[in-house]
Amino acid sequence: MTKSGSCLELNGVTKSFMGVVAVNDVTFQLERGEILGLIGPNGAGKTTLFNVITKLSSPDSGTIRFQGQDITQLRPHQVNRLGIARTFQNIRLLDELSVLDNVMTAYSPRVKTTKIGCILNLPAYRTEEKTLRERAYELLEKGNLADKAGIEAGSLAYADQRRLEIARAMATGPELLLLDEPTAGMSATEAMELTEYLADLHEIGINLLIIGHDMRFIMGLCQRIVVLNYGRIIATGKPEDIQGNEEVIKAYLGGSHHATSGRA
Amino acid sequence: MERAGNSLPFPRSFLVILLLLILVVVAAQVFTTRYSQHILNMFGIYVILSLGLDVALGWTGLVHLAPAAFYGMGAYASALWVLRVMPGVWYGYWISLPVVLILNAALGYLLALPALRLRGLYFAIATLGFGELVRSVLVNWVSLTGGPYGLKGIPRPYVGTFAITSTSHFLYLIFALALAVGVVLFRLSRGPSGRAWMGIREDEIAATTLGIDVNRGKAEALAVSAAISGLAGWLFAPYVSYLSPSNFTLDESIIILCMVIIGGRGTIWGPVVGAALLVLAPELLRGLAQYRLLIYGVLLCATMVVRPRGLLGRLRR
Repeated sequence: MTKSGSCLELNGVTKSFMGVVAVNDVTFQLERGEILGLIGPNGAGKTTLFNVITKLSSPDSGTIRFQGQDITQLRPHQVNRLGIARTFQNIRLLDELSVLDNVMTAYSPRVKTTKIGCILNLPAYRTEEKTLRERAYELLEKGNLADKAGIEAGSLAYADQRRLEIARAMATGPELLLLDEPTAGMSATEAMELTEYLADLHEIGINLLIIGHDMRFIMGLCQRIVVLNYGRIIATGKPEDIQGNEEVIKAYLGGSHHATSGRA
Repeated sequence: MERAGNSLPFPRSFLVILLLLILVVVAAQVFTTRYSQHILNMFGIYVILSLGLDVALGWTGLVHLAPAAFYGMGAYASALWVLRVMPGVWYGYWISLPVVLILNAALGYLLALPALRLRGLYFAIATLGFGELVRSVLVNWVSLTGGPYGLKGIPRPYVGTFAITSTSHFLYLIFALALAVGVVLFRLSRGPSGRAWMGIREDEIAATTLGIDVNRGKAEALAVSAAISGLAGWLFAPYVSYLSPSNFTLDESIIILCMVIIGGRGTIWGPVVGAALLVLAPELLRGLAQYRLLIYGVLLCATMVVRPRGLLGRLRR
């Protein structure tokens, strides 16, 4: 459709914090229909890169394009409205709200009826709310959370919280979903179920960018992997190529690499 | 919003509203002395004030310490409109209602613009400054506000030729509006705006990545909160017929704050219970008048320790 055909395109993105370069001249593309993995040792700058893409922090230099549109100057809520949703490594749910309301909150910037319609409880408003609630329940069902819709999100079990965060992100109607360590704290079975769920999302046309530490999960799910170390891309390629890449093995097992150049 | 299990032919909220209306009428018959009706009326006004503050404080998580400033602006705007802009016209008072609401909402929104660059305590201090600013304008702009002497002789409202004069007339007016505010806020709290505001309270960063414009949400919440506080002022001015800047000081804001926190922030009924407690308490503790603020302080501390989410707030899991 657009010139590049890419879904997401990063060009020379650099971000530093008080002299520490967390993301250094990162350039890569996420093609349409792709599941891209982002791996690297602790402090490699993966989460910082997510924050830059979702504009929670602004890059010092470089450009970010989404569906051909430059989003480098946008604010985070605008980025989301264009179709990028994310989850967080350390889970950010709306703890005191119910599981259902966590998902419903994601609809709130996209409703058509006004406050007046809500105050007067107009039929159009009630119909819209009903539709949204049904859609929210559908998302919760996919995440095996429908029976927990009424309880406080903060009291969910860890794996449930992760799945709720994904369901909530999906409620924003994204084309690109960024997942920051979605399997952290999950059992092997739960990780398997999540893999299937994510594969389903991919089926319906959602592009995925996934940070992961669980190599079996990442290698099994992603078509292509970008490896980050000290803020720089040290390798890009298919899972099997990455597994044999010497640079990558060195980064993970600690070779004679420059250990002083900083960490995020 | 019909829920499962509701077999009534109308939403359950109608039943609640009807019961509350009956309660108001009964209360007006039971409490017949001027004194007891005055207490009820002040309770009604504080219900509106604490509900209004709760939109900012409890729903959106903004530590807003100047509800009394918006209360005062509403009261003075209503009085000045009737005294200066449309004197001697019976409907002047009623026209001043939308004026007060719009003025207060606009000022709430305007306060939000600079103040929202600040977070947490810094935002609280900015609202403190705003409260002080309004108070000093009321004190010093003598030609408009009468300065420290206040505004005297605010006329009673009329409906045609019928004068709303007695405390029981006001009782119906005040509680009708308190009920209306309650219904409006209940619906907003269950709707998209309420959810967005609560999302901002729970986690700003999560909210913004869900597409919620956090600054706009906060500004809207402040505007709604300010308009409701203004409504209370609009009722208060003709009811007491005399306004002085000392009605709208920081002390007043703190009392409203206590009502919300003690009753349970972020709930609709909490502020109502808080208002009932803190309006009744000083009457029951008349002999201890000079310890009033001390008692509030102790009550507040006790609530924070025993029920941090307020009397009607849910217990921590």
